[in-house]
Amino acid sequence: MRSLSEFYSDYFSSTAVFSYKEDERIFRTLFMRVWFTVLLVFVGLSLMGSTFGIGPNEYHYFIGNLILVNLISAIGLNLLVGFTGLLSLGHAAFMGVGAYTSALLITEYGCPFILSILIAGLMAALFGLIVGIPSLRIKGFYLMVATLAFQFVIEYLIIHWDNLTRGIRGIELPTPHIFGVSLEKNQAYFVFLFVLVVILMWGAKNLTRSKIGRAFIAIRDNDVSAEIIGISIFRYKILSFAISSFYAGVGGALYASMLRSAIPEEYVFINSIIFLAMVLVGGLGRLVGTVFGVIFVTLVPVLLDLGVSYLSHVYDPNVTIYLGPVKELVFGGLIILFIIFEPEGLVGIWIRIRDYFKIWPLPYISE
Amino acid sequence: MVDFIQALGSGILVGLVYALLGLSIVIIYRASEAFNFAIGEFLVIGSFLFYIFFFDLGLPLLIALPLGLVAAGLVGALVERLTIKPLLGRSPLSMTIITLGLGFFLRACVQLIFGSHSYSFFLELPDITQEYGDLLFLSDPIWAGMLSLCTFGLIIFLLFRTRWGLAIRATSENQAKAMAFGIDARFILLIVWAISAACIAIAGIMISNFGALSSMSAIVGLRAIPVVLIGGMDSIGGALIGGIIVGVCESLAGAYIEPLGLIGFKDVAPYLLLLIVLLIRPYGLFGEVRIERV
Repeated sequence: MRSLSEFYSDYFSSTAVFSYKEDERIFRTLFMRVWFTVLLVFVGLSLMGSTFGIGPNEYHYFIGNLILVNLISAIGLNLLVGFTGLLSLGHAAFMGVGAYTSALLITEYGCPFILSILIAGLMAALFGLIVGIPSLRIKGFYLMVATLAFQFVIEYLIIHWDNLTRGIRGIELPTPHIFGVSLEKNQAYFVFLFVLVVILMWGAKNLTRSKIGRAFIAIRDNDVSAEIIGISIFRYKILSFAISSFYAGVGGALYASMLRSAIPEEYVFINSIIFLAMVLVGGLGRLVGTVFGVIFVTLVPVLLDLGVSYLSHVYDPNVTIYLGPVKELVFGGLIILFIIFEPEGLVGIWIRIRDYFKIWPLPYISE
Repeated sequence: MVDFIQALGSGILVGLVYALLGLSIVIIYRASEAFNFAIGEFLVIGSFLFYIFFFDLGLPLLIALPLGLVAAGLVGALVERLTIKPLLGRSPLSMTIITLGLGFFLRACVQLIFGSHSYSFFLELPDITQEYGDLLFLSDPIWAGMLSLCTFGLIIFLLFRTRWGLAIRATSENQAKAMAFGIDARFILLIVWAISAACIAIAGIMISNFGALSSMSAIVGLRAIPVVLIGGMDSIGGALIGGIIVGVCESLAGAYIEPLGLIGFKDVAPYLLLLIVLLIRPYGLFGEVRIERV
């Protein structure tokens, strides 16, 4: 039988960091490294399997693409809401800006796909700078509503500026090509997106632990005291808006080229709330949480679709008319339940489970 | 000039309804620091409850209206008990976000129960259409404006001239102190949500009376947001002024800017005005300026 103090010393030695190199690693623990490798191997195997016709099919890759695209935008929103503490109800508008920028560049000027996505991100970031300006004077609800106003203005422009955006008909896009390789199949697009998500995720992770990220967190925790310790609030708030909308713009552009069209309905107010829900359900201020949240919120409607189509086969074809309301019901219910019972989000559940096993058999750790 | 006065008058009449919507957000904000984004859904639910009593059961208006309002109040109270009360003591922002989720949830409930088609809605109030030369004010908007103003006055009377109102104001000022003086603050919150839901229901009935009622009427609720922000979130008088400003702004935009080829500009104009007001006065026109301390 080991003594209690031995358990304690085991625990503390497992959390200790001995060198800068160790401190700077992205995947600090063996556990994280193993899981990341497993993920890579899984993706690699399923891609290989699909080429031989046994793995996931095109529909599965479509769902995968949906998750990855949403993930890109949601990371941006988490940087803004979770790390800087600025609530935004206009995230879908930034996606719309990105989507339309990229669509216009490709169709009107024949811009290469990958360049158009970069410019879309920068364009959205420019809009983010403009929207960020009021954040110096207003905050909390007032800022939330200012971004809501921006959302409605952009929605209005997209629908009514016919000469530029072709109104409600939307803009059709050609099949994306990258360096001569066609991304027509969902599988090819998935590979492209996966690489992009890894790069963007790496960027966000490094951002959050650099000077900028720590400034964001200081502003979130208390902006007045952040200013007192010498952080230029205005600069960092605007920067946060710009970076967040850069991610949104890239996500929007990728989403448009995934659907092969930029249409106004995809960038409306409700989608902004859905992105907010992804970040909340996942856990604010945690990039891993955003991954959980995006997968969860994206898959729930997909599963409901499956369930309803099964029911309509077995019982009554008319069940499908309830699909829309039931989706909203489940979605609204999820937001309510998560805020009441699990404010930390999915990542909170995960951390509790992990800590339970990490310190087992100790009930809790005290210094 | 006639056009201008016409637009101004219609704007003020609609603005009074918006003011009532604004008031119902403001009293909730003052009491529980939460911004009710589900206002559009409360509006639809309130109107449908009234619809059941008045059109389905065929009760006379003077009985159906109070019954509908009480039912709407009960829904408001139920919502408060189930979603807001568990959050007491947590950040006001999480209460606000929960109302966003609540909006989805309630809208889906309405669509599941009543379907998404329109119901015809006509109250048959006495015709009081006013006509002065070229000016014409229709009966329905006048009724809507008058009833909203009466309700507004009633709420102000309740808040400033009764014991219950005193308790509500005390709770809004400081919950802990109010409880120390023997006021049941939790019950007051319940009452405030019920009153707010009933006010929204009145506004909803008036708005449905302009045309038809369907689950899409919830969009009107989005108009109340600029009202509150322009007037100032914690100011009751600000809600009245803000409502009139938004109504007039909307109707002037409809009369003068939309003919220039900007279709639908009416819906965005209040939000543009809101952005301008927020840049000049970050707490709205009459909102209390908060001084933050570390």
